[in-house]
Amino acid sequence: MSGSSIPYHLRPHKAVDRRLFVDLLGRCERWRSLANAAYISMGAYPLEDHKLVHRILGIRKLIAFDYNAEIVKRQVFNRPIDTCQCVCHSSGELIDKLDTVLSDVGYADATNLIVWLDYTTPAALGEQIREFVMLLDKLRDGDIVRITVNANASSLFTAKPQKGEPTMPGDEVRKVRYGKLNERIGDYLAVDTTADMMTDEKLPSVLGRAFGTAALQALPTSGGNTFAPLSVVRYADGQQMLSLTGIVVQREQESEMRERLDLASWRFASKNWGDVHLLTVPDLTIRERLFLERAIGTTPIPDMKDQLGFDFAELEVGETFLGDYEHYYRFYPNLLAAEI
Amino acid sequence: MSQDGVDAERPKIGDAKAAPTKNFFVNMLTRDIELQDAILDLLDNCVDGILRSLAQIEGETPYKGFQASITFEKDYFVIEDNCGGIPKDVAEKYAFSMGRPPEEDVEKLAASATVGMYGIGMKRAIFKLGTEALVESRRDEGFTVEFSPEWMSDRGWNDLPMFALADGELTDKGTRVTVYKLHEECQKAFADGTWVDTFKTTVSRHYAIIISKGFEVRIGSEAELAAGVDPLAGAEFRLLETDQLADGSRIQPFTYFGTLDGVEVEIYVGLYRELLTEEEADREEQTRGVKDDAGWTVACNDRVVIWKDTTRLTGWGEATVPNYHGQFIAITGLVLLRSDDPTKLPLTTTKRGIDAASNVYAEVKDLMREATKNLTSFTYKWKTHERELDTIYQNSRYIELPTLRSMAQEISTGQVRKFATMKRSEVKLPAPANESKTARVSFAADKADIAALRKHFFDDQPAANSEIGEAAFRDVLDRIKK
Repeated sequence: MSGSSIPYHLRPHKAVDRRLFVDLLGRCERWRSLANAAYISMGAYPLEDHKLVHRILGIRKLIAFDYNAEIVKRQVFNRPIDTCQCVCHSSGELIDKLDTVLSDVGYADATNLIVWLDYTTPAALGEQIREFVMLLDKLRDGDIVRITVNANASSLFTAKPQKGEPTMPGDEVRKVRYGKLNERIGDYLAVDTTADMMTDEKLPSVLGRAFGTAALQALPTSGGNTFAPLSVVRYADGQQMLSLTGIVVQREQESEMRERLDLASWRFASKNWGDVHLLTVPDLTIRERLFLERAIGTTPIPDMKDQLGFDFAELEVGETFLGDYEHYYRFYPNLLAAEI
Repeated sequence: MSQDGVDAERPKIGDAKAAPTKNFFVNMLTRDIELQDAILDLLDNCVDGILRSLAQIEGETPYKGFQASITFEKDYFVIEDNCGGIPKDVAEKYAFSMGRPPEEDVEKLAASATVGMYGIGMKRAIFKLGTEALVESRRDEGFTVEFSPEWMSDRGWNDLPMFALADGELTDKGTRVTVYKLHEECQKAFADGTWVDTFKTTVSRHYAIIISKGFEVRIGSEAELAAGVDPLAGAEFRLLETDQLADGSRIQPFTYFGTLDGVEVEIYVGLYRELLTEEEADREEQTRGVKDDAGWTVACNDRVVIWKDTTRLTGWGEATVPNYHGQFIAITGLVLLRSDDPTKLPLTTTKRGIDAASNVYAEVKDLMREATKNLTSFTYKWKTHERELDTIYQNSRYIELPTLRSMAQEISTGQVRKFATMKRSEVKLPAPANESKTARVSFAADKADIAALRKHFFDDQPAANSEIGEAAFRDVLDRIKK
C-alpha cells in the first residue's frame, strides 16, 4: 500500500524519479493539454507528488487516496490546495469505482486522467498487474498511467545463510524466484523468460515486458487504442523499484505522439516495455554538486574525472552516473538539516 | 504478364481446381456445429422471416401471432412456421446458394436486426440432419425445392429442382422444411425423450427474449403436436432490488445503456438471490447443492448466444475479477446487443458463443468486468458480516426484464468516462459498518468439541457453527476485558 516507512527525505532516488515524471508530464502537454486533467495518486501523508503537479503543471483537480482512514485525514490536513480531494479507498476499490469516484468528487468533467499507482508490497505483484489491466479498461485516449512496483530480485526469494555460509547455490535461488514470479504473474510473462533473469539487473526488464503484455490484454489490437510506453526506470533507495509510465493513444497516432513529445531527446524515454533505464542518484556533497553543475555542458566526462581527482564509477555509484547526472541535475534534491 | 494471364516465359500447363467440393459442405461444415445448434439455425430463419415481413417492430410483443413447430420423429424431422415465407425470386437467386448474397443484393432483401448473416444456416442444418429434404414455402408464389440423396452425393453443384406448391399448403405465408433419411445421430437423438427435453430447455433459454416478445415454439412428436401441446415458456431473467437504507445505499441492479460502434447496448447485472452464508458457500465449494443461475447471458438481436457463462469469455477471472466460484452464486447478468446490421454484432456462424475478435464485445466486456468486480467485492465484504445481512434485504423484490428495460434509460444517468455514448446507473450497494476495523477469524475444530460448546451456549437450540465460534470468542473476550 502507499507510504513506505522510510521518510521521504531519505529517498533521493524516489525524489528524482518523481521529478522526472513531472518533467515527462510537461512533455505530454505537447500532445494534449493537461490543464483540465485530474491527477490521481496515493500520495501518502505528505502528498509530495500532488504538490509538484499542482505547482509545476497547474493541475488543480487532484485526488489522493489511501486505504487507511487515518492517513486520509492526515492527507486532508496536508493537502496543497482545497481542490485536492482525499478519499478512503484501496487501489483496487478506486479502480473498480473509478467513474463513481470521479463524479462523487466533482471531477467527472476532467478531460484526461493522470493516475500513479505507487505500489510497494512485492508479494502483491499479481494483484498489482491485474489492477493495472482493470484500470486500462477504463481509460480513454490521452490518459496517462504510471505504476511503480517492487523489482528487487531478493524480494521474490532469498536463501537464509546459516552461520554465514550460503545454503543454496545461486542458480537454485534464481529457480525458486522464477517459480514465485510465475505463480504471481505467469499469465503475463514472456515465453523466453528464464530463471537466469531473476537478478536485480534483469528482473526489471522481465517485469516491464509483463506489464506490456498486460496492457495489450486490456487494449487488444482489435481496438483503436494502445498503451504506449513513455518511460521505464529502475532505481533503488534500499529496495529496487521499477516505474513504468505510458499513455493511452490511438494506435495510428503513436508515432506522431512520440515525435511531438520529442522522446528521442529525453534520456529516460523507453521505446518498448523492456527498455529499462537505471537511475542512480548518489549522495553528493554540496561541493561536489556545485562542481558538477558548473562542469555540465562544457566539460567532457574524462576531464571532469581528472578535475575531481576520483572516479564515481569506482565508488559503486555506477559507470553511467556522470552521463546520467547531466539529465537530472535540475531535479537533484537539496536536503539540508534545519532547526525549526 | 499478358492479358489472358499467360506469361511468355512461364507457359501455363493447366488449371488447379479451386472450387469447393460438395463433400466439404455436406460432411465437413456439419462437423463444426452441434445438432441442437443446427436446428436452432432453422428456428432463427423463422424469426428472421418475421423481421422481413413486419414493417415495424413495435410494442412489447411484436412477434405475437407468429409461431413455429418442430416435429421430431425417428425417421423424419419437420419445422414449420407462419413467419412470412420466402419470396420466389429470393428462393431462385439466394436462399439455396451457399453464403450471404453480395452487399448490393442485401439491401433488396432488407430486413432489420436479423441474426442470419452467413447464409449457410438452412443448408448446413439440412446436411446435418439427413440426405433427403423438401423445402416448401409461400410468400407470393408458393414453391417446393427438393434435395435428393443423389444431389447430396453428387460431385457437381447442379441447381435444385423447384416445383409449384399445392394450393391448400402453407396458406398463412410460411415455410416448412422436412428432412427424411435422417443420419444415425439424428435418429437416435429424436427417439430419445431426454434429448428432446434437453433441446426444449435449450430453446427456452436461447429464445427466452424472443418468446417473451410473443413468438410461440411448439416441440414434440407428430402425435403430441396433433393432440395440441403448449408453446414453450422462455427462461426468466430477474434481479433483486431492495428499499433504500438510511445511508442511501441499497441492493439494486447495475445497468448500462447506450451505443458502441453502431451497436445498441444494454447491460443488466445484479443479484438474483440472497447471498450465500459462509457455511453454504463452503458446502457449495465441495458439492453443487443449489440451483445455479449465476453467470452472464449475452443476446444478439434478441437471440441468446451465451447462456449463464462463468468463464473468461464473459470476463470472469480476467484482470482483477476473481474466477467464478460458489461464493458468487448470486451474481447474474444479461447483455443485449442490437443492430440493424448483423455484421456489426459479435455473432459466430454457430451462434453459440461470441466472436472474440470483435471490438464491440471487447468494449462491452470492459463494462461487464467492472460490474462483476463491484458485485464480487460486495459479496466478499459481506462474507464477514453475515449476521447483519438480514438488515440489507429490507422489502426485497424482483424486477423482471421488461421492467428493467423500461427503466434503463431513466436510471442510467451516470457517465461512463471511457465511452461518451454509454450511460450507467449510479449504484450504491450497502457496505458493512466498521468494515476496515474487522477481520475474519475462522478455524477448524473437533466436532465433539463444537457439540459441547453448542450445548454450553445454546443448549438444545439449533445454532450454526459460526454462531457457536462467535459465542465462545465473545465469552472469552468479555472475561478478559473485565
